[in-house]
Amino acid sequence: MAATIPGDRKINSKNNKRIVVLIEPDIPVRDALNVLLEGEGWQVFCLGGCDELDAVIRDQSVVAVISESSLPDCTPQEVLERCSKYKLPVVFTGHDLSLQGAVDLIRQGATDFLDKPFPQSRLLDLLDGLQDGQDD
Amino acid sequence: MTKDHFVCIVDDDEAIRESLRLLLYASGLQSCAYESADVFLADEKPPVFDCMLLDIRMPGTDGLELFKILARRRVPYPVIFITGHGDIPLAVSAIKLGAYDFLTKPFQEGELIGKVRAAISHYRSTRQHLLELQDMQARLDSCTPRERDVLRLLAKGLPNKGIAETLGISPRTVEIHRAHVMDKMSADSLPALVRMITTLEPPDN
Repeated sequence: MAATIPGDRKINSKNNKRIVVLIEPDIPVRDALNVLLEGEGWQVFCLGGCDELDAVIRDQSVVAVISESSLPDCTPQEVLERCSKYKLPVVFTGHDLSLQGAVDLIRQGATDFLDKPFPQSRLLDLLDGLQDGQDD
Repeated sequence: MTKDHFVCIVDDDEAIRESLRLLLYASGLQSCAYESADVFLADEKPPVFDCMLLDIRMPGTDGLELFKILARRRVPYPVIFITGHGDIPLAVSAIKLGAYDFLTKPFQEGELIGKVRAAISHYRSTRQHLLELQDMQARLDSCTPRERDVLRLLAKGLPNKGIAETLGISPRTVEIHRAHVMDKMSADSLPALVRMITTLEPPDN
């Protein structure tokens, strides 16, 4: 039921831009967030690491990237760097990051940091806000 | 002649206030202290200081609220938040709002003094620019809401007629507002005015 592989590209017109990239190595968490976001009308590209990130954000008009801060194959700084080329907002999530670490990510350009577990509404409100900002 | 730097502490915990003052004093940094944001805001003649240490969690107006009030007034001094370990969402909000730094309780003396000194030297290098911004903000605040509407549309490059249509007023009224705005903002030309508003309220993209 939960699609975790990019491929479902039925929504791709300009007037329907609710596309988001989700980088989450923890499969149950990824599936849960995917179900949540799809339920709210987002098209989600799910990745387990940042391997295919460049290909996805290059080809799609993505509203934002939601990324776990602790990834197996790259640092959060690399995620920020790759997304900055496309001026994409990055929202990090994490549960073992220090306060200093979270604050540093914001200073380095992250849009927000959500400390796991976070209320679903915080993520959804944040994404809606980012999409509104893009529409202007 | 070295000026003693004045640090302002706002924290509801008396023991913390006292220990902060003592640690700062031992490093040659004078300080003043307030037991709440409300007492600080009620002080009609607050001292001049170079850095604020602000507890993020306080009864009444909390640290984040006080910071928002100060940010709206564009106070030039840097603010260092004092937070607990579990305050990640609060600390993240504070940094996003422009807080200079934060200290996590319980803090180490070296960390405290290091961060305060860094904040003070940062303030020294940017003070002039920040004071100008504060002055500009005060001038903008002296404009009426309608004048600010006109100003923002001017900044977007709209001609008088376009502004009149957008706001549903006559072009003549726009001209009057525009003249008042130029006067209140002490702008000698339209480009200067637009520069001011885009400095104070940067466009999103």
